[in-house]
Amino acid sequence: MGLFARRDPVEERSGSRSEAREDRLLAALSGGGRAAAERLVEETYGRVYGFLLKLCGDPELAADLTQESYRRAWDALAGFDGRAQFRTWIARIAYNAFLNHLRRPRRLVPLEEGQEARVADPAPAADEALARAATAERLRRAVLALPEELRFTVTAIYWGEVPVREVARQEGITAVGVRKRLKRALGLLALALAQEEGR
Amino acid sequence: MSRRDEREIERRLREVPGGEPPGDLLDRLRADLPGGAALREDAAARRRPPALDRRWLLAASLAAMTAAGLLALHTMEPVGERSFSTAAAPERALESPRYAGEAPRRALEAPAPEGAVAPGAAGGHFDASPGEAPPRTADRAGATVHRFVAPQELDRDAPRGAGEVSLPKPRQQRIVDELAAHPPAPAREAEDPVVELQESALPDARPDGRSDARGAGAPAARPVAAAAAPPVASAAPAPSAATSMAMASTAPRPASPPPAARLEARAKAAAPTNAAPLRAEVAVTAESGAMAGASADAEGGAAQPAAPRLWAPEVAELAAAYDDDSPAVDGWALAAGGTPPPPKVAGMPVHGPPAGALWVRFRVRALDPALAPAGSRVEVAWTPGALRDRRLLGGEAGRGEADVFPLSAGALRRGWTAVYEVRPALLPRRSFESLATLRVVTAEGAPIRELALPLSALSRSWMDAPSTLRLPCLAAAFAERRALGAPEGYVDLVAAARSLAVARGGRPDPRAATLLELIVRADHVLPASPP
Repeated sequence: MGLFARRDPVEERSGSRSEAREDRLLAALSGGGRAAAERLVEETYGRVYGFLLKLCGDPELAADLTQESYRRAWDALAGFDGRAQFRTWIARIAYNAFLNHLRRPRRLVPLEEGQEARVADPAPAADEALARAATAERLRRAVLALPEELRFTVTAIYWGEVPVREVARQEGITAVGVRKRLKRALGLLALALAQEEGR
Repeated sequence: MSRRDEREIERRLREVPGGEPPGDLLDRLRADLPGGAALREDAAARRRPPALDRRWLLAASLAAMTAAGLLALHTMEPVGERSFSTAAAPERALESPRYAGEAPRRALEAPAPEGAVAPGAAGGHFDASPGEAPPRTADRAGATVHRFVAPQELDRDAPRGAGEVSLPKPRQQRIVDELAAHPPAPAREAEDPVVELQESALPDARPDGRSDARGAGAPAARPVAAAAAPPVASAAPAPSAATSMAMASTAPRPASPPPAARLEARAKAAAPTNAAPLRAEVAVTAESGAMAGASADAEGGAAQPAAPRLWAPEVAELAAAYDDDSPAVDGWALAAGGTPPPPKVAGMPVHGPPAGALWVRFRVRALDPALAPAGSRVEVAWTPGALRDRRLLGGEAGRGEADVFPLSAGALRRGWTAVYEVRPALLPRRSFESLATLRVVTAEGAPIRELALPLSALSRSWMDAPSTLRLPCLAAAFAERRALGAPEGYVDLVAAARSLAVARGGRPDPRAATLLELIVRADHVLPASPP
């Protein structure tokens, strides 16, 4: 799907339905209902985990960061102003948690070591998995090397499955601005990957 | 980056492997749920649907558009008797509905040539001092008009502003002075002397039964009728050739204002037919002996018809002023040993009415006294049968087949230009057939130079004619009409000047802009309430 392609009407309607359901859950949560909070977690934690897994590439680390993200979310729940959806808000928290994890040197896991650990599995498609993992790792490294504003936009949209409109709300810019960021980010990624693969 | 590369990066981003969350993750998250989690009370209320935001944007846009429309209506509504600013008066004249269709619209929007002064930047304005109604007079239609104030009058009241202009040529400045000194056309008095003129081959029939040789009516019926009215007067003989020469020569103007020495005679047409005698309005000057006699006769009550002369010196002078381009290009050098002169007689269709008329210019310059001694003269010999009628701008209508003009000392020095308004009979079948022949002869009649005006020398249209031809012709027409008081206004001349001021070939002519400014200034009669 191109960057400037129109939104699918079905997706639009489903997004509206999820927003309505989320609104109901938030309304129930505002009354102190634990069941509403559990329901909210059930509906969102898989996406948060997947987002963090694509960011860090480590399933265990992604699970830990997911748990940390929800803790921060509950602590900061009073600051949720409702401009964006809850899933967008929690995605931003997860992204910040990942950045904080990167800033803690003692907890950094060398990516090369992780790759070696995974490719040691004697699976039939080891070579293919290795190639995919290497490609994904190069892409991940290139994404993490993007400027901050472009990095969050790219990761939230492609890895966090956050709609462009939600990113725009979260970032306080227009959807056109988000798409411009995406286009610029894709250009930088293409350049970075070309340099790395040609090396 | 190409679109293909963009899609490839997108594909790679989407193919980054994800994974299902571990089974215990949900339990860990549930365990971390706080007991009293609560949203901020107004969090839900702050969540406004996007449609609401768009509605607000739409409402704000509509409000802004409505306000802008009201402001535009308020700005564009008529201002009535608002004072005329320096730039507004000529601009308003340019935009007058009277000019609709008279000039190409692009001429209205043409930028002022470089180095020239835009008409709107002239120093004159229409006097409307605060607390005092602007001086008014009435134009021929009875509408209220404002008096034009020239820059030199402004000097007495206010310092010169940045928008004022100093005209480059003394002749033009003098015309501007006269425009200010004698602004409106004098009202015709009932006791004006009447001159009986003979019938015209092309009568200027007017709806009211009058026939004005100088076109007091519609411009379309104006000029050639006068030319075609041979003034075979009831009493006075036709003026001699020497008298005619004085009309078209470049003799210096008297120091006194010309209108003081001018006598206007009015003739009333008995019947606007070819057979009936016409009464034509003519202006008679007292600059020559014949004119003085005519003036005396007129003052004495006896209608002694002199030649229907206009302000020929001024007309010829202004025409020559705009006919001073390089002799190497267009001049006719009579210097000894010179090369054969290039054609210096030319013509073109008149811009606007009368339809089918031509302006033909004859020009002699850079005369060598050795070849053209004092007493030399210019003869314009018209080919018999080639013309239906002819009229010298600023002079008299031709009667015979040749018009004779003496070359004064000033003409020998500055050059000589005569502009005719002619209507050819039938176009010659062959382009080398001539409409007229220009001859320069000595006092004894010995020919010095002779040059024919072939059909090929005529421009096919006004727009195709070179500016070196259009400028003097337009200047002559302007000077003539101004000398006559311009009862019909300057509408057609303004249009022609506008089309002339448009840059042709990327080379704007500053003199054309100056002439346009002069004509616009002269056309100061503005209806108070345009139709």
